[in-house]
Amino acid sequence: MERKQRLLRTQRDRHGHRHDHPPAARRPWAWAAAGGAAALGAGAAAYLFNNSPHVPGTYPACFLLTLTGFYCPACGGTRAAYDLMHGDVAGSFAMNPLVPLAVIATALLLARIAYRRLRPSSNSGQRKPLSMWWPIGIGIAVLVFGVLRNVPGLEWLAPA
Amino acid sequence: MSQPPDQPSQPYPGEDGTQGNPPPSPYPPFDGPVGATPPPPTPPPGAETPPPPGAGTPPPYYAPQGGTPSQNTKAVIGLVCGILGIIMAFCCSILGVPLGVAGAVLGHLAKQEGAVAGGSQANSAGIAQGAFITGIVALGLSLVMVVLGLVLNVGMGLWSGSSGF
Repeated sequence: MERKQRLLRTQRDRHGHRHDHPPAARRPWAWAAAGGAAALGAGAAAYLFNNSPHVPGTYPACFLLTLTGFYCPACGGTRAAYDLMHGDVAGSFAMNPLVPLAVIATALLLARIAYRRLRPSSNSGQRKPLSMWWPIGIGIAVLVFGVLRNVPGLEWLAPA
Repeated sequence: MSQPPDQPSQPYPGEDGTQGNPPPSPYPPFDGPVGATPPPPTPPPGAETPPPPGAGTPPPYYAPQGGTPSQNTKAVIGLVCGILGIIMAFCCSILGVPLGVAGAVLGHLAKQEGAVAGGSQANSAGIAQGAFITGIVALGLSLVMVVLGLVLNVGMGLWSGSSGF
């Protein structure tokens, strides 16, 4: 750790500035990439909105389901997204509850980031860093969900 | 590692006062990563212009805002994306591609910001590295599985068959 700190400091001195990487505003390629990704996502969402995955054969089949007969954690996700886009929240939860939950989590996260940016005074004090157990816990929860929806008696977790 | 000052316009704290007068930074002051404390609304004029050569005063030191080890939001989100991407690679592989890309990009950005902030957040640096690695692995696995899945779909004539998604 000490060696790393010294390395960082040396870099800063030799180049005459801290290695502060330019903000996104100085990196047009970053904005281009983000715009391209957003356009791709919007296009995919528009296609999904107009092409129901409830009709068999509209989209390629999940090969895990085809090969093994097991539902994976994402099975029903396309139908859940389609239902959610068409206002059918109950149907979305029935197909794959991870999709509406992910939408809610994303909204909360964006609201948290926006709040901290707009209200600097709210984070002037000590803020606890996010724990690394968040990603690990979410991953385990998704895996457990994928197992549980294949357990007999818990078919309500699986897409119809 | 000396604790960085709270005000961005504060002069360089001078952990080694003999560094002379380095050339000005080519970049404007960095506002800090996502989730960091934004700078005060009105930075004092002249904060962005380095002093003339030979002035003897060190250039302003733009302290990383939010010096508290709290700016690992990007790294944690990236690790979420990377782990989920690896999981998704084995079923609905197409989902793993954007997740892997997001994990790798967020991990890379978080690593950069970790380098800026110094060694004050070793844990976050590890999370950022993990996000980067899991993102790359998720992307590679997903691409392989997407190709395999397409071959399987076409080969077995599943495309017009059951709705697996």
